[in-house]
Amino acid sequence: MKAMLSGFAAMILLAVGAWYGLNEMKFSSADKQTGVNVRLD
Amino acid sequence: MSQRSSGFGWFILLVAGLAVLTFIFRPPAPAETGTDPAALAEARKATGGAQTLEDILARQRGEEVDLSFRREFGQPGADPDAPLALAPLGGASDPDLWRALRYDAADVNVSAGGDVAKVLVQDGGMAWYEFRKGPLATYGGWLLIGTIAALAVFYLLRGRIGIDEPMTGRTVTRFQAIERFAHWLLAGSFVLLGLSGLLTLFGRFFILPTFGPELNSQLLIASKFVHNNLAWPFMLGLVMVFVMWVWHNIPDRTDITWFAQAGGIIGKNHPPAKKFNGGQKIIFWSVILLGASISLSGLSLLFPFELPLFAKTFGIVNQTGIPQWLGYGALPTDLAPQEEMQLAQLWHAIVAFVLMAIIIAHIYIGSIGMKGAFDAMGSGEVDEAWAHQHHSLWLDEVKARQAKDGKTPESGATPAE
Repeated sequence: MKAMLSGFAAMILLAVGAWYGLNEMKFSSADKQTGVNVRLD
Repeated sequence: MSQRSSGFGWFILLVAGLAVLTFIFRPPAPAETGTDPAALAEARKATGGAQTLEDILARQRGEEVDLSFRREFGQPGADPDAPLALAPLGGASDPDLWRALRYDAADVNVSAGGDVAKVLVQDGGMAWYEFRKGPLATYGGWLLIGTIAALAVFYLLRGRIGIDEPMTGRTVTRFQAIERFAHWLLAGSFVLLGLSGLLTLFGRFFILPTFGPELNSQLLIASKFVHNNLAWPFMLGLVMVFVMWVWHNIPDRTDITWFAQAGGIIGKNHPPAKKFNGGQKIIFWSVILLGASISLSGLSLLFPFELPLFAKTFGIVNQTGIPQWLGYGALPTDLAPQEEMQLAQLWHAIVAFVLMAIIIAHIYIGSIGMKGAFDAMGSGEVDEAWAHQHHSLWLDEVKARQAKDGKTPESGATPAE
């Protein structure tokens, strides 16, 4: 069962890493599809 | 050693039977109603070609109306002094402009946003919306429910597939740790992606009216996070599984025997199989091909407007002549960026529904459907009796390799002297 739990753990790590990395690289839809002129925040 | 069918063939037969029955007893198509297109065209002569009230009413009744006349945008530059001309814009008029915008034919210039921003009215949006909430949700939902129902019926008829021979107590390693790691990386992310996708599609229909907008909203936010980010472990798992197992899943002669006996349905013997039998190879190639297709359309959705897929694909398909041969005419190759996204979303969901149905069957046979199957992906060790029943050729290979290497199988039992 270690392999299964390792697979799930890696899945979570990769997902969080992807979320953090892509946001840091300004790949979010907010960054890509809009500009300061059309955002209220 | 007595051998017994895995039951996979029976399951395939059951599903095929249900599919045939569904086709035979499908609801009758609604009778075609509608106004005669020629009559509508004749009525337009009185308005100089503009649409009439009857056109509008026919559309509101949901009838198919040939709208090609609405794409004829006057005659810019025509002599304004000519009879019936629309001065002072010449042959053009304001309604022409609005219709050009409506049909994405206007010459729009924008200072920012590129081609995406040039589309002011996206005509395909409604067609996408109607298809998504109609046929996609309906047929997709019933496909999954039907698969689960078929499995439940199969379980009631066939029960759990057991191991005919007594357990030997000797085990062989079916899957190494890295193989199981990749499987669960892929499986875990696919299950969560599937559930989050279903919440995204069905939340509005089932969760919102039952539990209210707050819960639905929270689930959608969570689903979006899961869907956007678990895509990466899914794709990594897919690549790992492909690299490790593709060699074992190349079709060979044993598959002919396996399919000839329909996985055991014909005759009493369980067909011999290597590491993966014919049914498992179908699962493997389904996962790889459909998973790759889902990944491609998913990437197109993940990076909106950056990776358009369909205009090019349609161009290639048109060159084969198949759509024309089937009577559909050439597929559109001039797609608005938004249409690319809509097609990617629909394709993503359709392929995902098919793969989900296949995987539900895979989960069934790998858990409650077959005794001993889960061990292969749980601990990685399977009893020799199980291995002999389901993968006799593979077991022979493993034993021959062990004998060559001078190894004995893992066992709590004392080997016979």
